[in-house]
Amino acid sequence: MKHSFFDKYSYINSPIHRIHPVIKIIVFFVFSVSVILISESSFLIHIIGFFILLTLIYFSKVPFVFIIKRVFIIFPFIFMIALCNFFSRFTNYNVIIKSILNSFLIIIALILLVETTRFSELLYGLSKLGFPKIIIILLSFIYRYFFVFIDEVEKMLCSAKIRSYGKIPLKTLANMVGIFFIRSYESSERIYFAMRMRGFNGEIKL
Amino acid sequence: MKAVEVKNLFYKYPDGIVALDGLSFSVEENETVGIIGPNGAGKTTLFLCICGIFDFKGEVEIFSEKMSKDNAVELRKKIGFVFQNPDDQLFMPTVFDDIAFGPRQFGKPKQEIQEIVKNSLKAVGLIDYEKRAPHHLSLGEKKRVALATAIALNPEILLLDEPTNNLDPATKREFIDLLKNLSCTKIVAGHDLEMIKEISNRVIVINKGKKIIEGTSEEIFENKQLLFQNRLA
Repeated sequence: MKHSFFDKYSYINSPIHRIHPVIKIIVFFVFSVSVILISESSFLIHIIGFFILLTLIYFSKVPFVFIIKRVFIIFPFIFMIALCNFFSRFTNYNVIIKSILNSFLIIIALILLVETTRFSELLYGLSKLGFPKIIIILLSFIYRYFFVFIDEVEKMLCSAKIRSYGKIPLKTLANMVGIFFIRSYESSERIYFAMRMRGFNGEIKL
Repeated sequence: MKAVEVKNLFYKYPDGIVALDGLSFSVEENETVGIIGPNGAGKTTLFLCICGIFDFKGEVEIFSEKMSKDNAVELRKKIGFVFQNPDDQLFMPTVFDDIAFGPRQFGKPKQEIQEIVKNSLKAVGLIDYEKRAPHHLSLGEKKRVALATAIALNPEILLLDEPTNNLDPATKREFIDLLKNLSCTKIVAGHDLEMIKEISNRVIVINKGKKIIEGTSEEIFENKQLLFQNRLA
C-alpha cells in the first residue's frame, strides 16, 4: 500500500473500526469538550480520560507506540503555545499544565479517530452531521491530491538530487516551488475538464 | 450513421500556438478509429474540442447534431472521456465516489447508482473495489477505474487518450482486451502503434494540428516512410 503513513491502520478490522463514523465523531467531540470543561476542577479527569483512551486503543488494534509517535509530531506546536504563557503577566502554572494535558488527551483521541475511520467514512460522517458541503468537498480534494502532491515533490527532489552534487542549492529549490505551482495549475485545469465531462456545472452533488 | 463528424476544426491556444489547423474527418457508429501522431500533434486538444470543452472554430457534429455552447452539456452525455493521466480523472476519495460522480451529477437515484458502480467495476474486472482509495491503486488499476468512470454514464462514444501509456506488457494486454470487448464507438489517440493497430478499423495520422492521411490499419502501418516522416517510426 503506497503512502501508508497517512491512513496506515484505517483499513484494518477491529470493534472500534466497525463503529459507525457518525457515532465516533460525536464521541470524539463529547470527550474533548468534557475534558476541557471538567478538567477545571481536578486533575483526576486526565487520569480517567487517559485510561479510557488506552482501553479504546487496545480494542482498536492500533499500536500504542504508533499513536504516541504521531502525538509527538503535533505536540511541539502545543508546547510552543503553552511556553508563550510563561512570559505573560498573568501566568497561572496550574492552567498551563492543564491546557497541555487537555491537548495531549484530545490529540490522542483525534489520532485514534482518524486511524480507526477511513477518510471517506469520516467525510460521510461529517456530512451526516450537517457540515457544510463546500468544506466536505474541499477536504475530499485535499485528501485525494495530497498523495499526488507528495509523489510530485518526491520526483522533483529525486531529479534535483541526481543532478546536484551534495546539497540542492536554495535557488534550485525556489525554482522547484515555482514549477510545482505551474504544474498544479495545469493539473487543476485537467481535473476541471474531467469533472465537466461527467456533468459538473458548478455544483457537486454528494 | 456518423457518430462524430469534424469539419475544418481550428483551435489556437491563448499563447498563439495553433493546435488544430483545419482538421476534418468522420467516425461511423460502432467503429474504432485510431488517431496517431507525435507528441504535440494536437490529439488531446482534438478530444477536448470534440467534447465541447474548448471553444473552437469549425464544426463538430455528434450523431448529426451540431455542437454549440447551448447543447454541449447534453451532447457530452453521449461521450465518455478517458484521460491520459488517471490522477486527473480520479478526483474523489474512493473508487465508488469516483464512478458515482457522473451518475450523481445527472441526478440518477441512489439505488440505480449502486447498480451502475457495481456493473462498471465488473466490466473493467475490478469487483469489490468500491471502498478502495485511488491513491492506493496501481497504475493499471487506476486506468481501469478511469475507464469505469467513463462507461458508468453508458456513453455511445468513448474517447481514449493514450490508454496504454506507461503500462507493463501484461497489464497493457489485459487493457487492450478490455477495450476490444467494449461495444461502442471508440476513438483512440496515442503513439502506441501496436495497440492502435490491434484495436482500430481505421487510422488517422495527424501532425502539427493537420490531418496527414487516413486509411485502414494495414495501409497506414505498412507505409514505413509515412510513419518515419511523421515521427512515428
